[in-house]
Amino acid sequence: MMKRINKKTILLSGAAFALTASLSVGSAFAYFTTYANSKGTVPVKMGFTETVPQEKVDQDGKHVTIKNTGKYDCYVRVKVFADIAVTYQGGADWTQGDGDYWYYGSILPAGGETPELLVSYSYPDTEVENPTEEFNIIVVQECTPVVYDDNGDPKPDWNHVITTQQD
Amino acid sequence: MKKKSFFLKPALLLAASGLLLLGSTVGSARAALTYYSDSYNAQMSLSSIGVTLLENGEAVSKQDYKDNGVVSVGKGALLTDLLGEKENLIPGKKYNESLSVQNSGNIDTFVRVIVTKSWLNADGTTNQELSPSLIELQLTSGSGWQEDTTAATPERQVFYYQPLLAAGDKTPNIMDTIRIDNSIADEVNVIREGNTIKYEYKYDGCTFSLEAEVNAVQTHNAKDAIKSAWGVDVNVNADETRISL
Repeated sequence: MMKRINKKTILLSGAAFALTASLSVGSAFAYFTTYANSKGTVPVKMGFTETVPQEKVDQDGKHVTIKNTGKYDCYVRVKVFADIAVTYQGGADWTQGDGDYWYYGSILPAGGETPELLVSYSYPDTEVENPTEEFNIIVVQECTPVVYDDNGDPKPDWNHVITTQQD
Repeated sequence: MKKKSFFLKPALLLAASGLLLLGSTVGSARAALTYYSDSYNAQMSLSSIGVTLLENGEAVSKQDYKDNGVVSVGKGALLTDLLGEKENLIPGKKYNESLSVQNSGNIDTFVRVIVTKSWLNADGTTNQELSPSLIELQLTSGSGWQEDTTAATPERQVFYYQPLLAAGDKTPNIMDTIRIDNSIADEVNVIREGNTIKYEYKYDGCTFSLEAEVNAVQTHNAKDAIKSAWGVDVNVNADETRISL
């Protein structure tokens, strides 16, 4: 007589197999891994500053300084328009360059002030003959933001200038 | 007819599975010390993995698994010291920003770093006009880091450290400096007020974002482990001390 396999036997056998087989499953797919991450943001605040020319006049001429009253660093340059011949004394800080401007060589930081550029002149002989004649000496100063080239070196951008004029 | 009082086969099978289950737990009991003195305490140290992201040599984020399974997590922000107080970021200027990785676990690992760059508007939304490629990272060369150029986008770069990173060791820097391309200063709006001409930068007030994620994986069975954890195929040398793309 053929023996029928008991249903309970099959179930118990299956359960036993599943239990024993499951013991080895975990380690097959478990790798040691970890991670860490971090994030940061920085605002890019760019702007054009404001500069104010300051002049004192005495017997030696016009003593010109430029003050950066804005929030951003800048470069500055000065040009003088006069009916009479003038000479300049600015030491190593000021050099004459393109367009007959006098360039302050360093970055003028926000809140900073340049050293003095002395603009000297002598009255022509006609002044003695006609003391009422007036001579205008006009100082024009310009500022431009500091930009950096591909090597990371600072340079002026004279394509964008803000001009201030004083008679 | 003889009465069947017990199912012999099921009972045997059940007993066998019970024995197998019990046997699987015996190992650790055997490993327990049966004798010790105060002078000869011994501590079993289990393998634990850990990784730390370093910015300019300082830890900014980490995740370490300890012997008892507790995860040590530390998280800080990047770029907090990029500018001085009241200092404005200047386009074109290079700022020190070095990223590297330390193995803060007690097993050797292979590591990779994913760097993500983006621009945000003042209200925090993503700026679609400015390209993330304007955020330039000065990468180091010959330092063991290999960029996966096939995974690179303007927003995202992935770097793999090729040598094994031993427990406690630090990698060389992936990058040294960060710089915003000065071309964003070329976009200027001109404002005329009477005889005065004023300029305003178009992108004044935008914010750039830098995110770095470091992943670490075990060196044992590295090829399969990296495929499983990172989803990439890498080449691993015979003694599992170096990977390459």
